Amino acid sequence: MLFQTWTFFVFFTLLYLLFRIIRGSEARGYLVLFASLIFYAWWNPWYIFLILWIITADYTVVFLMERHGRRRPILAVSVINSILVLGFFKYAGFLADSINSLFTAAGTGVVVSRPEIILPVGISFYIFISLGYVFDYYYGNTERGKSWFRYALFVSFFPQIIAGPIGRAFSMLPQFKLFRGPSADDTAEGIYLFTRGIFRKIVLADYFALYADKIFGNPAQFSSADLALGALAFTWQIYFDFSGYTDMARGIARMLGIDLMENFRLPYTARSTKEFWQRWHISLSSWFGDFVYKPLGGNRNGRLKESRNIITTMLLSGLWHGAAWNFLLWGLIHGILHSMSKAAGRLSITARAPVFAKRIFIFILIVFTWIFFRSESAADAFVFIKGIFSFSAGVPAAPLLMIMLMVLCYALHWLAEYRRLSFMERPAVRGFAIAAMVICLLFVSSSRVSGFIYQQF
Amino acid sequence: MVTMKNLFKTTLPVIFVMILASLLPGIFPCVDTSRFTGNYRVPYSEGENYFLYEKYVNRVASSGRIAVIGDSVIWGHYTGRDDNLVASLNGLAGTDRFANIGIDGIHPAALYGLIDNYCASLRNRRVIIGINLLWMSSPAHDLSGGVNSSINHSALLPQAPGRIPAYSPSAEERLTLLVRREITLFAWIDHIRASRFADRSVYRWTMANPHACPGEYFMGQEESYNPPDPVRPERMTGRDMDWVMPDDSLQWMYMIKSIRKLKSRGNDVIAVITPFNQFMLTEKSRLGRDMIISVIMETLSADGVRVIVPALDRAEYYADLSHPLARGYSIMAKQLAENTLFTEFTGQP
Repeated sequence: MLFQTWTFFVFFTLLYLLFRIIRGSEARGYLVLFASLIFYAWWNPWYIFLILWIITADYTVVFLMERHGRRRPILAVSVINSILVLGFFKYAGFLADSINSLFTAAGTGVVVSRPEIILPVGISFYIFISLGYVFDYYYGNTERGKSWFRYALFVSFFPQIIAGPIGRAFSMLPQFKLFRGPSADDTAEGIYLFTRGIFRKIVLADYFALYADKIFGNPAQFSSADLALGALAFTWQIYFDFSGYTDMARGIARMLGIDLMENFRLPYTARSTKEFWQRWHISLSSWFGDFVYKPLGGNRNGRLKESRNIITTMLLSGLWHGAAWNFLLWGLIHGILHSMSKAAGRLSITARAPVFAKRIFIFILIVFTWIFFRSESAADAFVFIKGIFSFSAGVPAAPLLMIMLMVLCYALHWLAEYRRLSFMERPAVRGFAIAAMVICLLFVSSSRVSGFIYQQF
Repeated sequence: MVTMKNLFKTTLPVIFVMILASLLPGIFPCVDTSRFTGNYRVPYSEGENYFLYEKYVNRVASSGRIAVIGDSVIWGHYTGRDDNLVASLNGLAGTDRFANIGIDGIHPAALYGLIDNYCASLRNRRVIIGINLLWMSSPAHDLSGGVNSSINHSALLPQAPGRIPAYSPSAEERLTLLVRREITLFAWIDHIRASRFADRSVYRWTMANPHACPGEYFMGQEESYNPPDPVRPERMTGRDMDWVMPDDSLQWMYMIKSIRKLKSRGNDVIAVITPFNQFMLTEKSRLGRDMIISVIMETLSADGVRVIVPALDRAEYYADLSHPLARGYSIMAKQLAENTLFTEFTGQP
């Protein structure tokens, strides 16, 4: 059940009406938990048991920590459980393929059979939400949630279960405890966010996807200009696809009186790779920062170890995104870029460089890293980049409208960065913006519904 | 109060725009109806544009023309708009008395949905309905066999699960079809897209025409239909049909429901069982076909519906198993015009 479907519209309308009728945080909590489980079961009812297992296991781990102290062995139980579940459902196929490649290269003739497992939707997200709670409790960032049902609600809360944001217990559990009804402002903000999200997904992301899919489908066939435009199209596609989902999730949650964290803050105007990660998928970046980078030592033990920690964190982030070598490579590249960026930041020449030049340079770097993310394999990514730098001639097959939209998106990014769009915050302007977006949606949408890029993670 | 004011300010423009948008379908008659004359038929590319279809039927009903409804045999799949049955009947009558309200590819189950939802204006009129035996020629055609993922005109089928064994879409597909069918604004938007923009969004159009000016998209394009090549007579060989007898046939059940629905609206209905190519049937299959025809005639007669069964006696009059060619239609029209039941029905000798 995707947010931009009629099934979800019916589901949410019913839920919202019941939610407004029911009084009391306890009853509202039960209602939303029940709805969340139905929402998740819509894909595959059997995977309900998986999410219930994760919830119960981590709830028990934290309960044991409260009884016996915040001990590492108890924490390890949760970490191992999460790794095993993720390993089985997400990485078993990748592992089997990698072993087979090694065996083939060695000429052993041995073949490890590839397990045919359907990846549970949003598994990486809800495992990280739940594991994040265990870590937060271990580090003393949050209290133990006394109620299993409220904890289950936090982990399985349907707006965030498919593709985040990866909510943190210290901000979410108190909200579920209160579960106050939404105010008029919440409703207005929720409607705006949801409409903006669905607009970003259907009107923008799905359009850029048409071109990006064409180019990445067979990069060897296209000219340098086409490849560069294809990389740009994917850059905007993934931003609007993911931020659109987040907007919808935040809008839905807000209409139920829950405030989910912001996940994007104009990432394509970042001045450094560090800033990029403070603006892109903020919930995941802060998760890795708090639970991987800092425990590894962060920047405390010299530049070499800091670089090691950055690269390790980014490699794990790449692996989190997908079980394939291109994601690992993408993470590694980001790790290296991030380390180099830190080193370069200490040079006086980069400190003196104009801010706009930094923003453009980082944007170009990010566009190149997305090539590794989107390509079917690492080899395809290199073919793609080689193609761009072959400077092959040819009139690009990119539609003029799409190029104009890309330029407009980038310009709006800059204007928003320099706070030239703050008039958009006025309620009446928002109202007209919603109306305009609805009109676009009515004419552009089709009966074909496409999924979100990040739901596969 | 401040927050309520914000909510009001946010939602007011949305409500205003939605009200304006809901008025848009009302401008339809100013734009499209001039086309509905002579041998007009709903264009092939707009076969699923039921908004257009309904407006066309409304125009036919108000003009008092005799409506001829049915599937691709009535629509004229292998002919141009001036060479099908309706065009031949109009040619014989010398006026545009008959209107082709057939739809290409529609099976009786969908035909029932079409009549139920989009032919409400057809009341107290004369209606000719074409019955094509093709839909009973196998369990797959009858939609009573295994699940078929590519059923024509699925939007017209009953969306309650289990009514049609071969039709098993997801809940989302059912819901989408219902919304697009029941909410006029969506039906109008689909109509605009189908009639003006070749059923493509501006996005897909720009991908197909990357170097064209986006403004060209809004200029629309002329409909042109090139009939497919027919099967040549020398290639027509006898084949066995896995006939579904009327008592067990889902399609026949819906055909009966369609006829009864038309009659319940006060229409005078006459059924024409369109020819089924004997040159492509084995002896056993021909017997099966004849048996079905006799059961159909018996059932319809019991219902008080007149039935005519024109026949084509040469392979070259056919395009395939069930579709006549232009010459075949011309002969069918003559046979109808000479039939007393038909002349009584039309009120013209």
